[in-house]
Amino acid sequence: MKVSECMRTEVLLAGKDCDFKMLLCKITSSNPRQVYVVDEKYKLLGLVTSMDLLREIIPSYLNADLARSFTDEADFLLKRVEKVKNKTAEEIMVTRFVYVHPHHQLLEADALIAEKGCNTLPVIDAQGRLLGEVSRRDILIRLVHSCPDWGAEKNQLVDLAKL
Amino acid sequence: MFWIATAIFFVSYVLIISEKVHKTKVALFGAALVMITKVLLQEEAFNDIELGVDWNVIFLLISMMVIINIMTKTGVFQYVAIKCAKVAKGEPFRIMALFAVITAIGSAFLDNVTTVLLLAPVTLLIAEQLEIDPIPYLITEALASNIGGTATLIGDPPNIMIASKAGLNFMDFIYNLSPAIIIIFLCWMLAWKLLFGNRLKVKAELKERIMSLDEREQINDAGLLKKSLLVLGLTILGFILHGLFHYEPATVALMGATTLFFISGEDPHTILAEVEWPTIFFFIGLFIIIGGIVKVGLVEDMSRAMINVTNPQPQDMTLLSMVMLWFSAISSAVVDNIPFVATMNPLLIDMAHKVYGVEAGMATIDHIQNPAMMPVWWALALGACLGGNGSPIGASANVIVVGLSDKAGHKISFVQFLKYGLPVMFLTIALSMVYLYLRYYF
Repeated sequence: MKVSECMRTEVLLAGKDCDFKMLLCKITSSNPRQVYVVDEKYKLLGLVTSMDLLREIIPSYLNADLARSFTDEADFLLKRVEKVKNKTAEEIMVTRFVYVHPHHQLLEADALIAEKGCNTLPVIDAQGRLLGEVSRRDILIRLVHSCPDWGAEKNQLVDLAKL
Repeated sequence: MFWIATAIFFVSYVLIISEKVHKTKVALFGAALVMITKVLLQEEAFNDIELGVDWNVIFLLISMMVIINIMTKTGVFQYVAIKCAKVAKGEPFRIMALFAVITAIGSAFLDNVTTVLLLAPVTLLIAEQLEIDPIPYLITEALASNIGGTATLIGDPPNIMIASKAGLNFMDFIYNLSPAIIIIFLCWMLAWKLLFGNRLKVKAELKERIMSLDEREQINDAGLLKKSLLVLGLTILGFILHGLFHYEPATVALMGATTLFFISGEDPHTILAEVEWPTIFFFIGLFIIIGGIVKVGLVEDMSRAMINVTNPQPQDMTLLSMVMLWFSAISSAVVDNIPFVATMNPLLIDMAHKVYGVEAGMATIDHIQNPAMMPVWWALALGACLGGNGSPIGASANVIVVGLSDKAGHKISFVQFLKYGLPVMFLTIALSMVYLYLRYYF
């Protein structure tokens, strides 16, 4: 199976001048975990993941042990957001990323995701333009649908447990 | 053989200084060349006390790293740092001074790099809460770690190397260097008070943020903390008494490390994986390269030149001590003090033999521990350790602090570090000079 048969074409986009607040709103308002920073011709310039945004807020020196000493964490977090709110996508984005092309085999995307530990891969054409994305979840869904003897299980509604 | 050993030594030194190739690769490759060219036979490189690897230094370093690695997991350093900030009631200069004190004390008994690595995150947090620039605090901690580390045999690798070669014990360092370091530290803090006392002011509400931090949350494992403190205390007691019972410091440290292994329940794979093996192998390689130049007589030539310049007399080595102090300090500000001391150790031993002469019927130890010779060793230790403050690359703790600060978004430029470090180096070396003169020559 080719990547093009499985990829999602509805993705989150941002220009390189998009600010931190807007990126935060985009990423928290929908399911996708990353925003693609593109130019006007949809050439992919970089990625901003939820982890990248979190790393901007949480300072590099703050480990989990030190974080426990806070009695008023809300004030600290607000101050941190205030500090980074004007940063742009260009300053935050990751410019070295792994990607796949639409003609690649889906197994290659599976292997890349497993190897690099990333959640979602951008799909780009030969000119570097963004065409879509393929995620772990997309691959797993495809796997379920491609198992012919799983008919009963895959049609069964899975209820979320309320704790 | 002379030129082969000399070429290996100088090329290795240049490569280590240039930092173009990792120093461990250079040292090990240089050591391999020394052995393959038969400048040193493998037997000499591995087993000869005069020419080969100093296993006392190697095992002391490994054992102390093991003790520290287990101890850092308890969170005790962060606890002490936050507690100190609260004791200082969030007052910026008091925090700076108290952090300098705990860094200096920590570095006197533990590794300098570990001490600043543990304190830097707390420092950055406190500075952010007080809305002040963390850079003066971080540089102060790097400087304090180099000053504090000078005070004891186990405080800094140059001291470990000097102690091993000159046969000095823990209490020798306490008697001779600790008083100097206490005086130097107090004078430095006085200068810092004049410099920063009025500049560092914050609003009362920001100080409240510090007071609201809960230091008790930092202790991860109270049981492990008690065991670690007990073992560290007994190990320090062992160091104090090792001369009395004729044990080498490495034996004491190994006993402490292995005891903590047993009683802590920590996985040896994890703890041993955290030992800084590149540093250990750097030492091993370096000892063999230096052994090569000792064997072929280069060190003897250097020693003869030094004697011509300083004209040491059997009863008076004042000029040699002063030259050694400044030469070590300036060299250590520019190059790594470990290869520097590794080179100076055999040079001083050779000088001692030449000055006291073989015909006097004295044993080697009588030469190198002659009362007139002792201040020269202290000058080397003071110069090599305190000289590290002279530049951002002068000591490992400086490099670590600059890196951590940069990562946290506070870039420390080379010149910015020099503005703090260089005056402190000159102050501390000038005070050391006065101390050496008044204590040993007045």
